[in-house]
Amino acid sequence: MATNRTGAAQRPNGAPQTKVCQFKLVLLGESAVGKSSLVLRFVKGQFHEYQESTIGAAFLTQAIRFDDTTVKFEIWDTAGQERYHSLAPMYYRGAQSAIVVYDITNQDTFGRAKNWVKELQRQASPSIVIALAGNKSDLAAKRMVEFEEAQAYADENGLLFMETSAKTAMNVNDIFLAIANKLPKSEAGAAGAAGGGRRLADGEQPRPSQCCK
Amino acid sequence: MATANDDEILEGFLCPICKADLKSASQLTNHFESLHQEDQDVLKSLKDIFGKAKTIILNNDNADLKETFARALKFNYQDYYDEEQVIGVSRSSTDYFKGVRFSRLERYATETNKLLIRLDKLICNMPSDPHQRKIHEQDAVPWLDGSSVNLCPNCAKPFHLTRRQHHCRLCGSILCHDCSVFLDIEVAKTIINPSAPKPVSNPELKLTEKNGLRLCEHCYNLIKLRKQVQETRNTKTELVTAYEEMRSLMEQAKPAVAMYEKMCQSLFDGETTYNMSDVNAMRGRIGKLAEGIDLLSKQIVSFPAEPGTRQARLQNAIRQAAGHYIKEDLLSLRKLPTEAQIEEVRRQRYERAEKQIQMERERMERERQRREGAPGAAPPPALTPAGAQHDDDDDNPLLEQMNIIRGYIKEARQELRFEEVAILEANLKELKKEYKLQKLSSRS
Repeated sequence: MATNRTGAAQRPNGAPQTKVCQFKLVLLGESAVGKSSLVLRFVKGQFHEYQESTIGAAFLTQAIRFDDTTVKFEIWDTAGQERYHSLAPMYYRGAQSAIVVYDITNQDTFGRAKNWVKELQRQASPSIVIALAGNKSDLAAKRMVEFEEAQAYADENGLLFMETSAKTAMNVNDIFLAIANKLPKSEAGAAGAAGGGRRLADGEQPRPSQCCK
Repeated sequence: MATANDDEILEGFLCPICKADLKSASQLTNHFESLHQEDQDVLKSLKDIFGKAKTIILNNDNADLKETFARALKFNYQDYYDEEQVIGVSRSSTDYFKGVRFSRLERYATETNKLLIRLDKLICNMPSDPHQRKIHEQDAVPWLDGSSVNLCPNCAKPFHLTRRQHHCRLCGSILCHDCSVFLDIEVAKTIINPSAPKPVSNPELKLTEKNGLRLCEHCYNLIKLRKQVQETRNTKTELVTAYEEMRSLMEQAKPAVAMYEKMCQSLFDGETTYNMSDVNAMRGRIGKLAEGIDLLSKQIVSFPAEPGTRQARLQNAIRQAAGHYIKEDLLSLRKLPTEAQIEEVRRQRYERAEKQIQMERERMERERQRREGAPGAAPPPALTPAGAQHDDDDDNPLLEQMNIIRGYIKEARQELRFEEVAILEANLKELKKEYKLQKLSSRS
């Protein structure tokens, strides 16, 4: 069973056999759905009732121990406000994983999340692992987005899906763990992670110049 | 424990690559685009290509290689071949070229012009007396002082009693007799004044001090070059002359064809303005023009030209155009009506006219009867001009006029000026009508 010891093995000095894989993870979603809270809960185990709005983006790291591998997440928590939308491509470019967050009490945020998924599928690395997180599951009484609906959408698009609550910490670690589980942890994957760039699929070889034949 | 996740959470406009805080969204975008965008993509794609190449080479995987080539080829021909390429960024170097060319031309042009001005001075009012002429020459172009020059600057042979110092009449430099060239004064005159009559060139005639100007080779070459340019500019090649002649024939043919059409139409209409022989003469004239054009175009195409060159193409094109013109415009003339047809048409016309006259007469008759039936009506006025009293006389001015016009028509016909013929014929017809009216009124 994989254990999640928060920040247990940042450096594998003590364990010579341990592999370290570094992954870039980006959080996307409408503003005030709880992206920063989710990350704060995952990285620090904290929750602030009145979390301030993120400006630009926030950068955090967190490592989790995973059998004989240490997975280190470089987390880019982007600002959800519309005016920062244009910055997002910079952050999800070269990311190996993304968490698209919506608020289960707000149908609009779910629609926005779908748009984010679409954008990622089009513009991000083709091998990106996308997780859909329906946050604020503690407010299930005010639910506007049905679990089944979201689950169906996630299945359709090959996304990981969980309903989470940063407040109660429900499913928070699990969703990161699930992502770590799904990411390739071979040497190649790690190398690709280090490169941080876009992986060109076979189909999109750079076309040779047609200028002088 | 790690530092980053514990103590600080970076927040702000962070560059995703170097994690610097750029303070504003626009600064971040600029920073990212200028510093990271390219190297990231380019490096990555290069890495991929090299990586691929490496594996191909190391594994010696022919199948893979073949597939790569096949894909490359397929896409060359299928995806891109049909697409028209848009011209990319282009830059005109014409100005640069002109600048370079101008300065080079200028170097020769100014020098040549200077020489021409001197030549003009020399040639104008050149005294025939040798002594006077020498003074005149030195007046136009100052000669170099030869006292310290011991060797010919051109051939480096020493000057002595038999190898005398001479001067170029255009630049005044020193040279020996062997190095000097003579320019025929008559030729020089044509250079100064291109409209002057061309001298009859006589190659046997040895040019000497007397009938030529002593020049150094340099000046001579410049002057000769200018003369060649002048000649090529002013003389027309055989081809141009032939072509111009052909064009003028075509210009002549145009009104002739129009005239012929008109005459034909008039014949078909049964008018008597033109004779059959007139029309035939016109036809003959057009035929002659066509023949001339054909001959000239044949001449043009037979001028020697390398096959495939632009000149050869031009000659062929002229020949084709001429042939086409002849076929379309000159030989497609309307067929003439036969004499019988003309007779028929004329007869019909005559009958029609007769009938009309008959009807007119009957109408007049009826009117007169009616008037006679109505008493008190004034008798029809018999206004007869004084001259009509002795009609059939030769001195009737109308008859005289008609005779004059007939003479004119004859002349015009001989000179094939058929437009004039038409006008005169019309005039004559009017006169005839007038004359008939006169006769009728005098009789009644």
